Amino acid sequence: MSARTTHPPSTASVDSLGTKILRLIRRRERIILGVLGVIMVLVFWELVVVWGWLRQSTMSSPSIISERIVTELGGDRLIPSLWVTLRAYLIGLGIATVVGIPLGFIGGWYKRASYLLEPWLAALNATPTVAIVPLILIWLGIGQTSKVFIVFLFAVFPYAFNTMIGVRQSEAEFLGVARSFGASQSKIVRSIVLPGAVPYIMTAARLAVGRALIGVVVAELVASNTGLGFLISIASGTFDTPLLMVSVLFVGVFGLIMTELMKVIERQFDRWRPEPSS
Amino acid sequence: MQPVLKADGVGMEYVHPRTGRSVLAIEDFSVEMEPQQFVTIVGPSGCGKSTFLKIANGLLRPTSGTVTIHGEDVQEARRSRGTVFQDASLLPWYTVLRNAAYGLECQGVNRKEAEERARPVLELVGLAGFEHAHPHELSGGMRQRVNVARALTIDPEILLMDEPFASLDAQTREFMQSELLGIWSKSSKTVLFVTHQIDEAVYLSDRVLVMSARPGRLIADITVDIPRPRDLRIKREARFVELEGQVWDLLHGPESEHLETADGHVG
Amino acid sequence: MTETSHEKRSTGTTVIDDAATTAPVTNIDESPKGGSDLTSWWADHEQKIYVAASVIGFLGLWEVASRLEWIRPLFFSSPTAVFEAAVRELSGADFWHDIRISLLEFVLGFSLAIVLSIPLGLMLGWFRRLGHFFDPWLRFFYATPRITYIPLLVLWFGLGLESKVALVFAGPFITILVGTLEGVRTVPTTYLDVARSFGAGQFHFFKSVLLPTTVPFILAAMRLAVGIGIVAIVLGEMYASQAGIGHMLMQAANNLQADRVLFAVLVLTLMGVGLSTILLSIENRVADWRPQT
Repeated sequence: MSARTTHPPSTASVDSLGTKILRLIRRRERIILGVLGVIMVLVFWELVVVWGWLRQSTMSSPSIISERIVTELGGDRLIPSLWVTLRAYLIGLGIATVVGIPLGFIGGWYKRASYLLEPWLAALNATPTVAIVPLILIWLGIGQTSKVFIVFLFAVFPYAFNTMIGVRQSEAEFLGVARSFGASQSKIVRSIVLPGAVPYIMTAARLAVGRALIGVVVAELVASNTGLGFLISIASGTFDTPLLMVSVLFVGVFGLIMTELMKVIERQFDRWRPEPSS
Repeated sequence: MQPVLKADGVGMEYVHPRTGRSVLAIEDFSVEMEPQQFVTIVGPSGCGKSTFLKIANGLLRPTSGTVTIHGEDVQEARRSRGTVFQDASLLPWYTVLRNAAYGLECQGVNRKEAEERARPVLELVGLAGFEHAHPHELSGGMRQRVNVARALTIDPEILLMDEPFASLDAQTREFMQSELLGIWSKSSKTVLFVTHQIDEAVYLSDRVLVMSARPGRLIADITVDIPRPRDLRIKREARFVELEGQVWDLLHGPESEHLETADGHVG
Repeated sequence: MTETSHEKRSTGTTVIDDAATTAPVTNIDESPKGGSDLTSWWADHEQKIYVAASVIGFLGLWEVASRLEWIRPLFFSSPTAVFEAAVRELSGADFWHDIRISLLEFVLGFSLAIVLSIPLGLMLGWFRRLGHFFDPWLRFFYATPRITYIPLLVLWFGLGLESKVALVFAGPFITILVGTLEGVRTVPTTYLDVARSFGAGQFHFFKSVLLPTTVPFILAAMRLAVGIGIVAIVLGEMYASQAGIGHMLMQAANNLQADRVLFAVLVLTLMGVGLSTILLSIENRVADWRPQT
């Protein structure tokens, strides 16, 4: 319901600058509004602190935070923490992908395996993974290993579960076609089951990317003394609000990047699947 | 000369595992088909004609009787028949060309060779130029053409078609019927066609096999003596209407009915 | 006419047989009456038997491994120990106190989140410009794991009830907000055309079309939010609290009481499942008139 203001057709041979700008604005309305939103909220925030409505110690302020970012970037703990978090995230996520997808495939394709696997997968899926973290603390202690393992746990279930469902939902009619032409099991898997499961795997990937981030933050808040999450908890303990905000910002930006990246990747795979997948 | 397809006393009985009740789907069905014949089985829904096609395809094992293609039991020889299903069931992640080649690929031919062999077939069915399109870009009629191409590409000895035009709208359906005859005459295949539409059966075939309601039995074997090539307009001509009437009478006559209790048990 | 190259299982999903059988259910002349009874019984119950065997087998193995010290009981506990711990906890007062606190925190935070997020989401979706305005911020907050805010909220609210409530509020709030927003945005324009062609007023359209179409999205978001809320509360209690199940969990972990830890995990799982089930049943009742699913 975007109201469009109609302009009388321009009688001048060259459109005035004003008309040109208005046309540009109308086309890129979403982006412009969004940018405006960001700027205005930031300005509002800054003013609110400057006027004293909000104490600096509560949420800090855009100016202080941006200054702090510069300082920390030059320092020796923000960047290293970022790398630690990134490494644990990627390794954990990678292992989850490599383990989860085949596991899901086995559970979906082989009837007996699904009987054995499904109850456990369902149970583990229902358990809040956070609750298992203390257990892992007991078993593996504090450190990189337990962190990666926690990320793995958070990310593996979407993969296993969704792949399993995706494999099962292989369209019966396609399987019928392949069988009637005498295709071997391996051919069926390669040409029908796996491509058909791709949308489900993509959904799983999207979920796993988000959950892995939760996992790494949880691990660093509770079971680690390195990484962005640890920085956050330190900042909280020392009432260092600017550092806290900076760290949160970095985590958020990272999450945003991963989310948008996944969207782009998913769109690539949608080329031959115009219908929405679950 | 050996018939292309020979069905001998084929019967199909289903036994419910728990109640032990038996349902007879097909009863003592026998037919012989000569090369390049176009034979249609016509009958009411549920009469077992699709079941027979599945048996001829080797997907189901009959409880009695045999079906052979050139003397070889259908259960063994996978390569000899191409099936055209009611739903085109084209793999959405493959191009039209790859879909047409898919049947051959399933039989173990490598992709490149299969696609090479599929190309002229696509031309035959009138889809030249669409090789790199994806199924979702095609209309229903076009998808069915790919369906037919897929079956033809494996160069089968017999083409089995299970109500392939059922999901098309009436006009497209008629158009495809005419197109099919064109394709058939160019490829000189033996075709076993299944439908419940009488006009379609008479228009397309050399022989119409009339099947009764369940349990399906062969009621009649009618020869369609209308000369080829057949234009769609022949559907209004006297001989056509006469044959149509014959089939209709047979389908609605006393022999076609059976006593069945409400739960499908033959009483 | 059944073509049984697949079998439908009671779970409602089609499982593909690993042996490509194409024969019908039974062939009358293949097995005598008695034999077909046994094979069919097995086919029916096969799944349940496997599942039961799997569960019992695992539990049994675990118990044995613990007793024989193949694994350290201190680290891994055993089914019987967990059971005993459960009995102990359930009969004590501490546990019930903890549960009450956790549930209270959850309910308060979640209800507050619902009450605020749904109207806000509807508004942001309805007034398109407004929605676009706040889009970047919403996307940022949605992409950030809500638990990242725990230390911040602890800074603001301290270690008491309030910070936990705030945490449970934060996650579901964003989730349901975005879910509602998306729901409003995806109202098919055809509905809009129908309403407008009948000259419907905005408010009427809102009530009769927009709301019902959005409800499924809201419910789905709520189900998602439950999971997030539980994570929030557990982590919040683990990180900074003196009561609640999460706190109990952390305490038991620190004292190397694996049995209590596992019991707490079980309780939390049941809580999550219970809440999800409630929401699922609501969703199903509302979904009766939905054209899809």
